[in-house]
Amino acid sequence: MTEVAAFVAWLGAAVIVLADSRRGLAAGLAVVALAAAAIAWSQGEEGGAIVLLAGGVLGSALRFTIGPDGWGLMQPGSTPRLLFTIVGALVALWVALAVTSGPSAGFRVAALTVLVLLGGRLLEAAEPAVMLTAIAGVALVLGIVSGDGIVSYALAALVTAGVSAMPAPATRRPRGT
Amino acid sequence: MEPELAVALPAAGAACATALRPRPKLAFASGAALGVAGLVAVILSRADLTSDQLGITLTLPPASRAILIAASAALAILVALPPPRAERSTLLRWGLGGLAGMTAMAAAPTLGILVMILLLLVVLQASGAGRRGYAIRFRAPALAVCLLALAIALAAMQGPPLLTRLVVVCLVAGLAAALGVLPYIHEFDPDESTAASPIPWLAFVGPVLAVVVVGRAGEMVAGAEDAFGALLIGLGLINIVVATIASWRTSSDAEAWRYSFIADWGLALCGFGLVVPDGVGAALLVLYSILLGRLPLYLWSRQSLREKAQTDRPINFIVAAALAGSAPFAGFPARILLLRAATAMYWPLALVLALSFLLWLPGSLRLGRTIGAPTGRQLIGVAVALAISVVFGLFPRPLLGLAGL
Repeated sequence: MTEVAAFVAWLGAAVIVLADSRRGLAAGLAVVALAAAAIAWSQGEEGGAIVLLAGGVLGSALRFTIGPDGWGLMQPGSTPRLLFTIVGALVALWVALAVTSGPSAGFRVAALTVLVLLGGRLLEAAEPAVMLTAIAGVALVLGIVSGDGIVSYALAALVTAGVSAMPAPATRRPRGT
Repeated sequence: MEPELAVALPAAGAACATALRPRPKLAFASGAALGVAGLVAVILSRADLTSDQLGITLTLPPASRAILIAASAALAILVALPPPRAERSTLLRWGLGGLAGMTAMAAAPTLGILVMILLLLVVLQASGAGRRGYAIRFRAPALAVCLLALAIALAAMQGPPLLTRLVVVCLVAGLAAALGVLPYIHEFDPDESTAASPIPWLAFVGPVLAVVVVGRAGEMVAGAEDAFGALLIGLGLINIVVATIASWRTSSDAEAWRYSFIADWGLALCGFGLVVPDGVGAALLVLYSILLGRLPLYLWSRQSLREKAQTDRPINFIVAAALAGSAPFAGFPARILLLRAATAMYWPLALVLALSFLLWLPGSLRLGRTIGAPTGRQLIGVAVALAISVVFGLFPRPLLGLAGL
């Protein structure tokens, strides 16, 4: 099950990397949430999985309503990003399978792939909706790696939903110190 | 007193100050009352007392608690003696929000929860109005969150010793990116409001974050403690040399102030890297002096920075001496402790550090002049900051005792 979840996590992170508009970003976040919940479930954290999925789906629904209109998937000029989704995933796969060891290969692949891809997306993006979606995905991964039981899952779910609810601020000249 | 109250009261104060923004006096009164109650809760919360009233075990370690008290005191001084053109309620709103997040980070049971709270702070700070673009304000602290998350993920896996060293690199790089020190200096706009600028990361949230991350790193870097210390010392030395020279040579006075914060962080990183109690004590004294000395002085200098007013009065030279870490100010015992720790660990490092201390002089003389000729509230503020620095310089032991050293 975790191997499938790892593939789904890559798929969700890749969609976030390749999307520029709210529908694509919402779809990517929902897929990452599904994968994170599946990994939590496979680790025996059924309650945490449900909470994480709920937070991810709520975040995804909020993202669906906030941000540039449309899907914005693979728009012109996105070839480097497409290559990044493949190369980043291969590097993460190598580190997870050849360098590290442990009980769950799927967990390792999913965590590293999502962190590498969304970290790269954060460095490249300029649109607030994209950056907030990427950091919401990172929060979901933090929920499954921090190992504090239901507390970390609940906090990750809250952070994901809260971050997705943030409106993009306008840049203006402030007054005072 | 329970750590939950220490988090909840400043958070409630920030929420009140935000909700009552149309009525500034009421916003200020409610925020100040809850903020003072939060400070009392931090002071009264016994160090290392665990509480799990919310189903999560919260503890305020002594070092984090000491830095939180210093941060609260810095906020209280700034709100009581606000810089020209700054609104008290705005300062209080941002300060209490940061303080609530910092207390939550300090009390968090694991690094994973700490990073999630950091993530929230990053998003909230970037949501404020600033002159820099959203992406520029958000990117570096968000990268810090990713790097720290990567460190946590790698630490949860098993593997060869190389993996632990990778955890060390991610931790130190994440910390540097969060603080905005080399090699991840945040873009800086001198005309931006302080709350939206990189200064809170360097001088308000950063000290607590660094103390907590370094304190919690021990279990994650088991077997690679030497590499962790060496990386911190190396990064610290690079920051000292580059930032002191930049603070002296850069064309903008506001940039010079920003570099001076980074130079102080170089000292703190070296202190944390030296691991021995003297080194950690030196790092904490540097962080105290950033919070209660350099940060207020920077804010009070902003008006004269805007007016490009520079003077050579005695007060300017006294401020320069305090910023340079000369006796009897707080930077002096920090430097002495750092030298003692370096001598105990590896004496050539003490030689390098002693030479690097001289680099503070030209930059500090320049920064001292930018204070201008303070009058009224600003003069009282500068006098209070200098007095605190002298007290810390003459009696550092109680401060170190507060931090459990």
